[in-house]
Amino acid sequence: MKIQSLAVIFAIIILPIVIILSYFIHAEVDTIAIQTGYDTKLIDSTHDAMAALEINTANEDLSSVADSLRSIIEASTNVFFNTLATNLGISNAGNASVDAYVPAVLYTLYDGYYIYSPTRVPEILTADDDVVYVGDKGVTCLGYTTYNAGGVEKRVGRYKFESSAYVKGEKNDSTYGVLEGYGISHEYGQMLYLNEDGTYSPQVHHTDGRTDNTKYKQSHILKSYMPYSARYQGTNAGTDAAGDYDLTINYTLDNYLTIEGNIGAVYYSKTGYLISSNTVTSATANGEDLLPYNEKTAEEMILAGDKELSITIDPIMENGDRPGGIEITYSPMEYDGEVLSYSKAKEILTKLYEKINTDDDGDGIPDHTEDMAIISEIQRLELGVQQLGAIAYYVKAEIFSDWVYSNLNNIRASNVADDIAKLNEDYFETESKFDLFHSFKTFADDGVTVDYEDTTLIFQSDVNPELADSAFYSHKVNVIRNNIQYNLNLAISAYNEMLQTRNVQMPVIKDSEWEQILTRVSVTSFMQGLQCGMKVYNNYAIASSTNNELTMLPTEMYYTVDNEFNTANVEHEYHKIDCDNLPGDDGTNYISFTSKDIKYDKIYDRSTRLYAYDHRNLGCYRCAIPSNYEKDVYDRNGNPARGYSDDIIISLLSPAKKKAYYVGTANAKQAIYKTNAITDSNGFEVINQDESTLEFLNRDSVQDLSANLSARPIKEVREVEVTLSNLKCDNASEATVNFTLILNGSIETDYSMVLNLEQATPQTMVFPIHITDDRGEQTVNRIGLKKIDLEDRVTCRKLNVRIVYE
Amino acid sequence: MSDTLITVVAILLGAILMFVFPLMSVAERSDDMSSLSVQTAVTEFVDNSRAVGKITMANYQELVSTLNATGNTYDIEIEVKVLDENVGKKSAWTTGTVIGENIYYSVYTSQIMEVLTDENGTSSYNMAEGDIISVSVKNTNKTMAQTIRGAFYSISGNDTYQISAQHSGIVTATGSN
Ligand SMILES: [Zn+2]
Ligand SMILES: [Zn+2]
Repeated sequence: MKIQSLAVIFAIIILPIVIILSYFIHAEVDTIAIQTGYDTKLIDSTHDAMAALEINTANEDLSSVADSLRSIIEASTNVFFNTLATNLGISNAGNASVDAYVPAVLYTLYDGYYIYSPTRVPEILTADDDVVYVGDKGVTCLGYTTYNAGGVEKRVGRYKFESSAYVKGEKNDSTYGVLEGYGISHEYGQMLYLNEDGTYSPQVHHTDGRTDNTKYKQSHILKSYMPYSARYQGTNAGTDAAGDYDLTINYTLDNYLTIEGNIGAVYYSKTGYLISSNTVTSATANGEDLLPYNEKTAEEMILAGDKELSITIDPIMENGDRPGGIEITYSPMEYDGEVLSYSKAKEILTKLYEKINTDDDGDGIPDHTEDMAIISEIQRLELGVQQLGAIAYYVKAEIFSDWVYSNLNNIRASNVADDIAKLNEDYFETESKFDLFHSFKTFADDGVTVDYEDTTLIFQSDVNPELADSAFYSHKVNVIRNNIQYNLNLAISAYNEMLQTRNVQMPVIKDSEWEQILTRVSVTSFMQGLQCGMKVYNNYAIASSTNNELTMLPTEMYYTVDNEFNTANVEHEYHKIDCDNLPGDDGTNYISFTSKDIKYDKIYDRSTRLYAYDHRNLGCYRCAIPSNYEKDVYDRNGNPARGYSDDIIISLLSPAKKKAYYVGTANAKQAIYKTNAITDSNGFEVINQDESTLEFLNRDSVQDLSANLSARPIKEVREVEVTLSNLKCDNASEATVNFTLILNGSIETDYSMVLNLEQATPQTMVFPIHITDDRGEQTVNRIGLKKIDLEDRVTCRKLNVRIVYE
Repeated sequence: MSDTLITVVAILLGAILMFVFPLMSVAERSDDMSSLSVQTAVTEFVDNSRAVGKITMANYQELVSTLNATGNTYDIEIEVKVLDENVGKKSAWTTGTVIGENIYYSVYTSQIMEVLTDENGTSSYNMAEGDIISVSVKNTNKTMAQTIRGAFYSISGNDTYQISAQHSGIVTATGSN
């Protein structure tokens, strides 16, 4: 063959390969470019959603408005969809066009999470932006059909709507009569839902094979708040807790817990921070021991601010050692001659901050920024308030934790029940219940035999539950993660079912990202189904927040020396606790604040439009502005060295800084808003509900109230509540009667309660009980009510008796 | 012109058509492939770092090994723009009506590597939410396509690169625990 022919053959073979390869590679490059573009858009939209959440929580008193958190989340999802639509270049088409590509947006908050995802919802009839009701002009009843509601035949009206006849606010007078004729007059004035055949009905209904079933449309909704919870069942929950238990424990991103449920006959609702036992070694108020009180009572005593307080704490540090006793004290503070409570002091602080930022001469510049008279008052009160908050935190936490370690110390990870506890919505019920917490317990194929169980004790008193290597921490993280993953899967598969056209799968979230989700408030958004070059897009983005009212991170706390706090002096910087440049010796006091306080400081006064700052200190350019700084750490052999660390190494801090750290973090935790918070932390037992008649014959007559007592020690009894009705006295001239309570036939309370005679309506007496001496060891076996002061016969009906336990 | 000369020219042209052109084309495609994996690796590195708020040694090494797998050598430049919270405060002292603008100062590769490689360190460089990270990668050797092209027409300037990728974005989470 000639060389020319060879050349031609060679070219014929090579050229198509080169062309196809080049085409393919360019298509691949385009795909990657589009995908990268989507990634960036998704991350940026998620970041915007997080920023909206931060800004909205920053200036909001979350506890004052019911469900304000929910509306904040809804606002945040709006921001997300708006940004995403704008980024994708379809802003005017509205959110609906983007909605279809977002199977879920997950908000993981402090004590639970929200999932924003598409759900089928019925369509409500509206006209001129108003809801149309049965009876309005334009609505005509076409008759009724019967449908099957859980086995019962029910009538539901069918209506037609003519928008031309509709006049806002005007009624059609004949409608009611028509409805009465059909026997469905109860439908008058109800909202209407669209049916599949274009008619309307006031009830959501479905019967197989019919054409007038309720029509559903797909809509994104924020599902109800789901707590990070697990349910535990078993017997003998702890050393002091015999009998069957059925408890729900709600976890949070930190060591705060809420426990609700029954142990034996007592229903407990306990809430508090879990710390290792003996973290607080002593706590006194005016010399009186605070630890035997209920946490709520102790908190009230402390926050009143009128007592000399002194506590000693000795927490377990990250290296397993204890610092050897840190004393936190508080003496009552006065302002304008008035002794300040915790809340009053905070109120005055707010006023003082405002005073610094006032602009007297109207030049747009705050005039008192260097007024040391005000600033030193702020420093004094701020320091005091922080000590007080920290004392309240530790005392409450110790009382609560002691209860946990003696009542729940036998609960193991495998005691997790096989369903999610206390979820409000039915459709979170699982088909294969064992899936949810499979990491704690798995079953053989028969569904009964236990294959594997994690028998770790959850509450171990001698380890610090805040440390990541504690059993509590890893169990908590597992519960939260399983819980979220499970519900997220459900939401995404529900979405799948709705779409029917493409198969949406939940992407696998990496471990490092889980860690992020499980330590801070985060927004995770999922986007799927967009066509990008040669494939279909499927990814997610996470944005986390460290500047919000909902969590406290020790590494995001800043400190200044107390007399440098809030001065306009550029030398007086704020630092992280482990920064070398934070000055001070062993006697120094520090004032702390969170990164959020600084970040959202500048939108302080909206009314005067003055950009003033509550925190005037400048950030240190070593530790606060960037966060990579050389500090004291342990090297690989455990010896002190210089290096970098993400964690605060408490054991290497000076004593004054250790104290500042423990006070600062405790005070910040004390101030966190908790969605699941319950005001009281106690247990109660209803012991008598038989409505029998009691008869007190003469002075000092005692009637027995007890029945079904669970026989817990008297020292645990916080209150006894007795409700009586129909109080009558033989002597009509008497108006009131006094009672006291007697425990076990001999222990008489110091309190007497006055009830009105000749009153039929129920009256409740609450007897506070606080017995700390030897008698407290006796178990409650009898409760007697004793009439004092009055000779004449008194009768009444016994309605209810409850014992409230600590 | 003599037939001999024409034959020599024809053979030369034939050689170029038969060998150099396909070789160049294949070399260019190979650079495209490299570009693709480099761009992907850089994007992944930036997006991972900004989502968790830290540049980790593990991620950095993954980037480096992906780059090395293309058979070329690269120069990696990382820049973190740190948001300076202080600036607003300073300006507020003189005027109450101007909110501090977002002012950034930059930290560059060598400073970041110093933290990443510290022996008593966490092998990670932390960033704060609101900071901006950008990474740019360029090849430092001559790729085959560049060499072949260089034989035929000269490339002005020595720093012309064939494979490059950059990606940047705002950090969406504060790093450190
Ligand atoms: Zn002024
Ligand atoms: Zn510092």
